[in-house]
Amino acid sequence: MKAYVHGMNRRQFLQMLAIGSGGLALFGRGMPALAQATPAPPVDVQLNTSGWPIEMPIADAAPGTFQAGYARAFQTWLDLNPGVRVQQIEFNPWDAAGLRTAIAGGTAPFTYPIGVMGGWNVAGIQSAFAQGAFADITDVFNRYNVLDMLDPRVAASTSRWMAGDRIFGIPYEVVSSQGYFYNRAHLESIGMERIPMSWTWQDMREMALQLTTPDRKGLAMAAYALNWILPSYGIGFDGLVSRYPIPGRGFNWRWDFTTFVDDMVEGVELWRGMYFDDQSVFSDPNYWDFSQNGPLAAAFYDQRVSMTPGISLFFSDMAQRMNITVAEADQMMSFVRAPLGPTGFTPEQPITPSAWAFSPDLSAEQLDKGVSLFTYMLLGEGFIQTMQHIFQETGDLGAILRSLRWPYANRYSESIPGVEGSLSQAAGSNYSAALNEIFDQPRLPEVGAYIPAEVNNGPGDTPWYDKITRWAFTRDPFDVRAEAAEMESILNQQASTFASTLDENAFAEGIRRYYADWDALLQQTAPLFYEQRFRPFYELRIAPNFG
Amino acid sequence: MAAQAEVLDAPSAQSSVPSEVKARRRWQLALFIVPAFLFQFFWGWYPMLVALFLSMTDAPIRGALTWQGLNNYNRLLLDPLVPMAFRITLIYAGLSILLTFAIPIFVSILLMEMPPNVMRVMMILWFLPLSGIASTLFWQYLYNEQFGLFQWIATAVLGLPPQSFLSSQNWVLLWLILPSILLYGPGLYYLTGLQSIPRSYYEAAEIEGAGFWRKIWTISLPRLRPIIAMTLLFAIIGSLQEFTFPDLMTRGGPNGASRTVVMYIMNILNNARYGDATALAVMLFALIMVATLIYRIVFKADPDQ
Repeated sequence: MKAYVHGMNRRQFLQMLAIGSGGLALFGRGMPALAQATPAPPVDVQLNTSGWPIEMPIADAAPGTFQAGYARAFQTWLDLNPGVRVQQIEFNPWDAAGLRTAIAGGTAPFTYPIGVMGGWNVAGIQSAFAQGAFADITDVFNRYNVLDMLDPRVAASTSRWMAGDRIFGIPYEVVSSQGYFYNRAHLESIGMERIPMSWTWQDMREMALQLTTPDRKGLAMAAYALNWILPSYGIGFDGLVSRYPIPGRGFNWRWDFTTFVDDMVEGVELWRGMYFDDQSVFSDPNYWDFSQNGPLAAAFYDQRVSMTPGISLFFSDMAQRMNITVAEADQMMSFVRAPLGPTGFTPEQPITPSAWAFSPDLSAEQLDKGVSLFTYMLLGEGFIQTMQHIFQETGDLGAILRSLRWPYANRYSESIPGVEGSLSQAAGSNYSAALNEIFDQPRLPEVGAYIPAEVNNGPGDTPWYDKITRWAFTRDPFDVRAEAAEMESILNQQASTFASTLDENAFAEGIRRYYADWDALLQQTAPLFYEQRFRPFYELRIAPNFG
Repeated sequence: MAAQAEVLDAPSAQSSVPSEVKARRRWQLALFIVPAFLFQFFWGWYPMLVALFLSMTDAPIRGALTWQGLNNYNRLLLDPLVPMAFRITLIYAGLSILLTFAIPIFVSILLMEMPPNVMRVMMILWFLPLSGIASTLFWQYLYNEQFGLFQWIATAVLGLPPQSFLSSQNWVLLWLILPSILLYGPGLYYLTGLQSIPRSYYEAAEIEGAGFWRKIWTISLPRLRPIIAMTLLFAIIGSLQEFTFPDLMTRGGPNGASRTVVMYIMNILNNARYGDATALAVMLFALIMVATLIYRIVFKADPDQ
């Protein structure tokens, strides 16, 4: 066991005091006496949890492990909040159908991931909130000053946990732009040290071809590759120059895949050139999983491919999968945002917090304690205590990085009080620099942050995925132009049958601000795209209705 | 027991049963029926009625329902993907029944003609218990268009150009049904039924000069009719509700060519359109009901009728 390497600060002193007085009370008068030593008045509250990130601690976890630190922090919170019982229930919150049923039936755990109920997109999340799937936690969020516990960049990314001035979630993990992990040694073999963030899909094609050898493909990619490529042209189910708002009480959006259909043809040909002609891509129609556990990542671990898609969260897990430390992983691989489109546009948000919601069936007391527990364990004192325990026992920052996916949504991604050293250094200077470069990019406007939450979700993205998965792989003859027009017709036909629940004026006002922000941003970041795509589309489709 | 039943069934015996015994018997009957009735009501009819009601509302996750009348149905009828999903479901069901239902009947009959030892080995091979997920992963590998076994056979062995398997809009349904022909099917039921047919029937037919096909046509198939009736009904209902295998293999692609109605219901559910999803489920229920009724009218299960 390692000794403390620091002097005790005020926070540690208070923690020691709390634990010490709790221990004394427990020793002298048994468990009930512990409650009397704690500041919060006793309550009678039960919280049902489905497991991580709030789970019942393991009683006999080995010292130095995350579980041991978590157990101590958890017990401290329980001691500070007498009368709260936490019950672990058998429930999978990542199963959308099960979670939907549980919320409807009032049996959901006290907290669950927001994205599952919202289809992982802003519009769906806002719609789920409008339908009452998440509790409004504005008051309790402010009472616990949760905003101050968040990393400032996370705190500024509100569209997945706020609607207007109402708050319905708490950020818990940080997700970077989608991008590619690449093998640094393979890259060096073609004379490159790193991939610049300004790379385009055409650059990607050339690099993938150079990286391809008889035993290896340059790139691994999921079945929905075109859902990464075409949005960089501004075209997608919610693409900036393929979807447009219309005023009125009908459904507020329509689709236009014909104005820039030549771009779609170009993007499809680029992908098919890589897959069929260059044979530089490892992919298949049923590779849908691009996670660190899927077939694409497995090919990367085995060095059967040089690049694989991912997000920043995968890094430490990938290191574990390859049985190497994060420092070794930093030497072996790096990460870069997905390529730009040919006119310099990217649809990739630099940072997207993954947030958790709270059950709308919680009483005021349950909500208060639930938010308190969640923030304590993941953003505040409990998090610090857990990490301090790991460091005190192991003296290894790598052990901290392996215990929770870095970087964090809280303010401790760089350093943790009572823990010596820099976490970003421990995570690896290459990887940290790559991530910071992404995180420092300007935020893209998200429409959900500008208009009120819409109850009616409108048409789904099924027709879009129907087309792009076919175009990506089929050897049957097809015509992108004709099928794009057909897709546009299907979506607009579906949209015409929906009504909106939004106030027309509020919608129009939000839309004007949304496009004004895009206008300003694109002039700065992608002037070519602005001139050749955004402005013409705006004049054609948006200006006539919204000025 | 048989004698007792005869006595109870006789009119004279019935009239001699005291009234209190009759009453007790009625209670006993009720006690046997009530659990089944309650189970069927709460797990069958009640959810069906609730679904019918919800299909005419907006069915939000929580909060007050808003009556929509037939709006959800109108919206679905105007959605081009709905008739497409029904068409694909019917083709899938038809192909599936044709290929995975009929073939095992003849395979079972042929197995019965084999020597007992050979038959046992063949049965083990045919009914090898495989995990659903494992076999799905296995078939995903077989169909892999870059590294799969079938692509290798097509290109390296047969010298053909690379083939589209799951990415072919025209052939995807056949590729999805193929594993069912090889691995599943109701063959075990048929074998059980065939083994229960007395050998004397076949011996008598042989004495009368009946050949192989004649025996199948006049003995095997008629005697299998009750089993065929049951499995065919299950096959119709099951194939019209197909979801898991195509969802795991293709997610409905390419271009929606393997998206069944239940898969589209899931798509709509994931888009938080609960009223629409329920309405589509009711439409599917109506289709299955009609198919079942037609089947019951057309197909006679009793071989002696």
